[in-house]
Amino acid sequence: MARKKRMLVGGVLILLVFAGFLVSVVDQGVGALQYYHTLEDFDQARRDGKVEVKKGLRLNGLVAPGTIQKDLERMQIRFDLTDGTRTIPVVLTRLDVSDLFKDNANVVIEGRLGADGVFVAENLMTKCPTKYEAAEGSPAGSAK
Amino acid sequence: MNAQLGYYLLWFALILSVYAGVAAISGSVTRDSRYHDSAIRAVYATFLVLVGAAGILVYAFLADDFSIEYVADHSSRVLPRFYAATGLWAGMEGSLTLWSLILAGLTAFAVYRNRVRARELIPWVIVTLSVVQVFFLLLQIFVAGPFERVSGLLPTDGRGMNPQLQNPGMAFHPPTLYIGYVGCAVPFAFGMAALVTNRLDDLWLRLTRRLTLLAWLFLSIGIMLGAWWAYVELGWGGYWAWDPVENASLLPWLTATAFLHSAMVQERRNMFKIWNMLLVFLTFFLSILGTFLTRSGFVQSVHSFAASSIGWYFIGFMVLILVAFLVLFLGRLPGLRSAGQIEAVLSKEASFVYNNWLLIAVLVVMLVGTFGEPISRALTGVATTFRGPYFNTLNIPLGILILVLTGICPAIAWRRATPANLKRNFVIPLVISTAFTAAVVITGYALGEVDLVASPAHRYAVLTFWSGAFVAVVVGIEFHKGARARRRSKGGSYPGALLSLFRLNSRRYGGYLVHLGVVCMFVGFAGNAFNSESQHVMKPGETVEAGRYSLTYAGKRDISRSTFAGIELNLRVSRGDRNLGTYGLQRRFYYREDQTTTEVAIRSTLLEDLYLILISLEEDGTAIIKARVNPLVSWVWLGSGLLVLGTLVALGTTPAERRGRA
Repeated sequence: MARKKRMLVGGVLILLVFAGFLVSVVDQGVGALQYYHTLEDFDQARRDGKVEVKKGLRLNGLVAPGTIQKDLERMQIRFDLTDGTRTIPVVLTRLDVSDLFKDNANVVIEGRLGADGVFVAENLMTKCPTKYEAAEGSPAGSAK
Repeated sequence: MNAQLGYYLLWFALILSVYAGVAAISGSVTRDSRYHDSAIRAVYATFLVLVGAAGILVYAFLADDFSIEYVADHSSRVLPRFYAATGLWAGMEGSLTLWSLILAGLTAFAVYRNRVRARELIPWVIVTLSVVQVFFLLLQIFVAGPFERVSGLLPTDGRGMNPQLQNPGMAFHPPTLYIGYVGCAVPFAFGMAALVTNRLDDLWLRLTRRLTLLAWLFLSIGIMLGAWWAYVELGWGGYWAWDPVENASLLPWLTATAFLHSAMVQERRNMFKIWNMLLVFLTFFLSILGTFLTRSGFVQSVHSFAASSIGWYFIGFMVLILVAFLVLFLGRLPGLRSAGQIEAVLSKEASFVYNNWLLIAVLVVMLVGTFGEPISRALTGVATTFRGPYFNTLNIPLGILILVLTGICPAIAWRRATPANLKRNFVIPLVISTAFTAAVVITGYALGEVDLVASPAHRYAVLTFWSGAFVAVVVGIEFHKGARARRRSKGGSYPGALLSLFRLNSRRYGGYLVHLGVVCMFVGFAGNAFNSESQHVMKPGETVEAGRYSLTYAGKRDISRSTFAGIELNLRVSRGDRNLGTYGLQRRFYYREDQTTTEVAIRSTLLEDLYLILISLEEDGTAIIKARVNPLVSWVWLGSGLLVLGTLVALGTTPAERRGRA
C-alpha cells in the first residue's frame, strides 16, 4: 500500500507540474490571439480597454475595394479592412497571399495594432467562399 | 430516378440497422438463436444495401447527373473521371454516405470474423454499431441528403470541384482518414459488449487487437496523406499548421496510440483494465468529435464550413454515447479492478504508464488549443485563438519525452528493472547517441547552422536528434540480439535470421519498425528549427541568392489548357558551381471553379528541400517568388513509410496463431 501511495503522490506532483506549465504558457499568451469576429466587437473592446497588449490580435473583415497596394520594394501589401462602416488600415508584411485575396474578400488577419493605428499583420487568411467545401479532415487553407 | 432509388436504399439501410439492433437484443434476452442469426444477416444486408446507395452516388458523378444537387455542387463535365468518382467524399453529404458504408463494411467484417469465437459478445457489438449507423443514416435522410434533387431549373453543368482537391493525395486522404475514424468504433463496440455481458477479461481486447491496429494504421496514413497534400499542393511551405481540422484528426490518434500500448500490458499482466476501457471509449468519442469538428463550423478553421445545424445533432449523439458508456462503465467498475499492480517506477509497466500519461498530456494541450476559442468566448466574452507557438511550446517537450520512452520501453525489464539490467541495456545506446549528437552539434557550429545559445528551437532540435539516436541504437541492438539468438539456435545467415524475426514475433519487431519510423519523423520535425524563408522580386535574367542556392530567372511560358489559364516561371537553380536544373513554378486560374492555384516546385533531397513558390507574375514580367529551405522534410515521409511497413508486419500472424488455426 505504501508503494501505491508513493506513486499516487508522485503522479499528482507530475500532474501539477504539467498543469503549471500549461497554465503559464496560456497566461503568457504564447501563441494566443484575441479574436474579434467583427470590427464592431473590436471597436467596442478597445473602448472598454479589454484588448490585452501581450496577446496578438486576430480580426475578421472585408478588404475595402480599391485599397490593395502591393509594395514590391518593401515586400508589403497595404489595404484597408472594413465592415462597411468602420475601417482599419493594414500593412501585411509579406507578399504571398492566397489567390482569393482581392477586393471585398472576407479575410482574417493576425498581428498587432501599431501606435499609429495601423494594423501590422503577419498573416492573412482568406475564408473559402461558401460554394466550395474542402473535403473534411483536410488541413486545407493557406494557414501561414 | 436514380436519386429516388438511392434515397430508398438509405431508408432500407436504416430499417435494416434498427432491425439488426432489435433482433440482436431479442436473441440475447430470449437465447433464441434464430434472432441472433437474423441480426447477423441484417448486418450483412445493411452493408450490401449501402454499397448500392454509394454506388448510385458514384455512378451519378460518373454520368454527370446534375439533377442531384450534391453532384452538381462538386463536379463538372470537364472534370477528369477519376476525380469525378472521388466526388463521393468531396463534400459533407457524400462523406456521410461513405462513413455509413465503411461502418457497415467494418461491422460486417468484425461480426463475420468473430461470430463463432465471441458468440456471446456479438449481439451487443451489433447493437452498439447499429446505434452509430442509425445516427449517420438519420443525418443523411433528414438533415444532409446526398440524393437531394436540384430545385428549379436543371443545371447543364456542375460547379466543378475545388482544383486543390484534384490531387492524388487528396483523392485518398479523406477515405483513408474515414476508415481510421470509423475503425475506432469497432473496438469500442467490443468494449461495450464486454461491459454488457460482464466478460471483463481480455477477450475483447484480443479479438479487436488487429482491427484496432488497422484503424490506427488508416488514421496514421490519413493524417500523413493530408500533411503531404498540404505540403505539395497548398504551397505555403509546410505540412502542419495546428489548424483545428488537422488537430481533429490527431486527437483520436493519440488515444488510439495510448490504447495500443496499454492493451499490451493488460494482455500480459492483466492490469490497466479500467484505463483501457476508458481509452477505447475516448478514442471512439474523439473520432466522432473529429467528424463533428470538420462538419459543424463550431470551431473556426481556416477553411471553416458554413456553420450548419448538423452540429447540434452531433452534440446530441455525443451526449448519448457518453451517457450510455458511463452508466455501463460505472456499473461494472468493481469487476474491472485489476489484480496486478505496478511494482517499481523503473519497469516496463511503468514506462507504459508514462507513455500513456504523456500522450494524454498532448491530448489535453490539443483540446485546450482547439477548443480554447469557444471556451474563452463563453467565459470572458473575448475569444482567444491558439496558434502554432502555443502548440509548439507545449507539445515539443512532451513529444521529446515520448520519443525517449520509445527507446527505454523496449529494453527495460518487466516488473522491476535492476541496476544491472539498466546498465546492460542503456549504457551503449547512451554513449553512441551522445557521441553522435556531439558530432552533429560540432559540425553544425562549423557550418554556422546551429546556435544552441541563441535559439531554443535549435536546442530542442538537438535534443530530438539525441533522443532519436538513442532510440535507434536501442532498437538496433534489439534486432541484433534477436538475430544472433536465432542464428545460434537455427544457424543460417545473419540477414536471414534478421528477416525471420518479423515472421517469428511480428508484433514485437513490427512495433520496433514503427518506432524507427517515428524516430525518422521526429528528425524531420526537428528540421523545422532550421527552416529559412526569403522573398524575392526578380526581373527576367536576374539572379538572386536563397540560402546556399542561386536562382536565375530563365524564362516564362504559357501553360494554359482548356480548363485553366496558366503561366509557368522557369528558374535555373544552382549551388556553388553545380547546376541543379531548371524548375517550373506555376500559377493556374481555373475558369469553371473561378479559382487560382499555385503549383510549387520542390527539389527534395535527404538533407533538405528547396521549396519554390511563385507569388505573382506582374504585367511587365517581374516575378515575385518565395524560396524556402526546409531541412530534413524527406525524413517525415520516409518515417511515415517505415511506420506503415512496421504496422503491416505487426498485423501479421505469429507462429503460435498459425498453429492455433491449423
